[in-house]
Amino acid sequence: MSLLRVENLKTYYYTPLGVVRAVDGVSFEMEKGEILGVVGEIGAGKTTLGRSILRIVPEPGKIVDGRILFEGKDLLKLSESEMSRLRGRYISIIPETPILSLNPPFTIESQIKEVLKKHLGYSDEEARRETLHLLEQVVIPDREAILKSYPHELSGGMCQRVLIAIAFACRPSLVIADEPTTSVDVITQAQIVSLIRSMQREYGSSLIFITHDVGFASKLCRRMFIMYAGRILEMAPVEKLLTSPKHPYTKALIKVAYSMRSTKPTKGYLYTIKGSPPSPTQPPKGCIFEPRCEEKMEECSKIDSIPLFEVEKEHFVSCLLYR
Amino acid sequence: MGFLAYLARRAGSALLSFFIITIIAFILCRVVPGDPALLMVGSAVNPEEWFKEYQKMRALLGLDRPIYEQYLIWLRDIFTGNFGVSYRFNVPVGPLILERLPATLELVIPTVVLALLIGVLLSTPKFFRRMAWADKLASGFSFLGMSISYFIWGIFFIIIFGVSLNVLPISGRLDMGIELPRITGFIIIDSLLSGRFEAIGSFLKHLIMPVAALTLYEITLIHRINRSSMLSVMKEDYILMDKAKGLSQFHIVFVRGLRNALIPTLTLLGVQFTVLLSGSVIIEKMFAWPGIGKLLVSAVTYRDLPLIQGIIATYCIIVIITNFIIDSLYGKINPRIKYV
Repeated sequence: MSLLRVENLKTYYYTPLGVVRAVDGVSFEMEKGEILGVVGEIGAGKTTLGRSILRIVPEPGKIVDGRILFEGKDLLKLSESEMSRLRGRYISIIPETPILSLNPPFTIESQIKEVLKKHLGYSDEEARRETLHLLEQVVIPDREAILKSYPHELSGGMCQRVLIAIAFACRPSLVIADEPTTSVDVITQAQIVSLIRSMQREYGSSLIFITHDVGFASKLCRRMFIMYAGRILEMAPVEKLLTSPKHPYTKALIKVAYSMRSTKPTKGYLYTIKGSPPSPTQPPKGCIFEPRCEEKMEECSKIDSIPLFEVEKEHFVSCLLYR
Repeated sequence: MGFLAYLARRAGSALLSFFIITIIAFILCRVVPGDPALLMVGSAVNPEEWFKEYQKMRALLGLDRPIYEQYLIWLRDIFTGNFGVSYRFNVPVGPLILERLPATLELVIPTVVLALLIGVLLSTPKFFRRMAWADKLASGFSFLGMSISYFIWGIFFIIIFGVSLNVLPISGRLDMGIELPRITGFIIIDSLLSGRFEAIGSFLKHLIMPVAALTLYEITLIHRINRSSMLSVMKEDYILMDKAKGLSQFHIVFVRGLRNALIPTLTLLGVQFTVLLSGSVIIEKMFAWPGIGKLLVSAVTYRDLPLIQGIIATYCIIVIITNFIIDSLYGKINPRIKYV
């Protein structure tokens, strides 16, 4: 049995301007101990996907359809109180905005200790000892002082380390890292990624690594999938995706990434994808990428929905070219 | 060290604002039309004799001296603690105010406490999925409370509960026949000290209507401001993160959310406390409540200048103390606010 199996998940935001289909029929599966990369542009629905798994999609968002099977149980069928016993205990999240994600008037100590007390029933003394141990794990110096301090007294990188400690505190089966490196500088980024990697190994958790950076994903994950406008366009093991991408969007994405990374002077020329992502409330009919696609065919705009075709073992593409 | 320096700075600026307020109060009292001496002399048959009497009265009240001299004399009176002598009652103003202050505080303090508790409570159902009806109800009530002034509520209560149903007393603080020795002036404290517990029940019965009339409006204010500040706090990333940690919605709303949302509410509360102090004048008059408000109304009617000035100075001191308490609470609630 796989650890997590998401089937045809749909999460919509009911805004005054219309229905935003942030996650629109996403299905995937992951094994115990696996690191799965989720790559996509801003607005592709990656964050909403992560929040949907924890069922913490903020208003006016709603999970409208699908199943989320976690260790065989459908999370969407659990009551709110059953779900809250699971959050932070078996599934946890490392957020995108470390500085904004710790509650300002509460000390770091209390914010780490509370998960240990709530989920594992630790006494105050036990929780304190474990908290110090966790801070050591996430390489925080001057631990006693950090415990007494408040979130605003820490740097972004420090906050992220604290949040990583909280995420792994109860040895969860699954950690969702939601762009954990977006708001810290490059050097800290590398440290944070390798820290998450070593914590994941140490605590034996599975990891969903959400990022917009193909490069980061490829260094960390075995498999990844590409999201665009709420859908999965391609899913494959990392080497296959990088060396022989199939979907026109993936090809373009990797070209963009290479052109950004290349140290060859290009006289200001950078490869870009023409056009912009589709309007969230009025997506195009047919293939979601069709308006920007360089290999589009006539039928692409006519078909209702395109399933994921398996082109090779473990390599899925949602494109009519590979029917 | 930091806190002491802060305290010293606060005391300095408090003293400065106190002086400015006394000057303004003093000048205002001289500018308002109406001559207290004129009111006190009465009439005499002989105009010449009358004028002599009038001059004598002015000299007695010190009104014939230059205005700065009058002010300095008053300032001296403030620092000796008697705040001058009331024209009408012919006793020092200080003790007179102190005698009435407890009754006003007995109205205002329960009002503020109740308004805070109920107002904050009413602002929370919005954040529980099954309580949408309660939020609608609270908002409807809030709209009603906001559009009806507190003295209308007062009259309304008197007619219904005082007259028609005749279940609540409509005037004073205690039933006739209950004698209570005055120790602090606060009835609950005095009855506990003197062991006259029957006074407490009688007092609470008298307290219900005036406090209810004052509280209804305050509740709607607190409800509105706290609800809107909760709305923005509950959208913050840290609330989402608290949820992701598995904290219950109850804990998130009442501990994690509220503690962040309470700052604007607290500011309002401080302002409303001082507004109520003087705003309870009408309610005190309506329920024959022997507080400062009633005293102030009669002082103005009789142009009792030292008494008016004294009451204004008292309000000023209370405002300064309240602000200091509220500012100190900020730091307790939110560690990002430091004393500098």
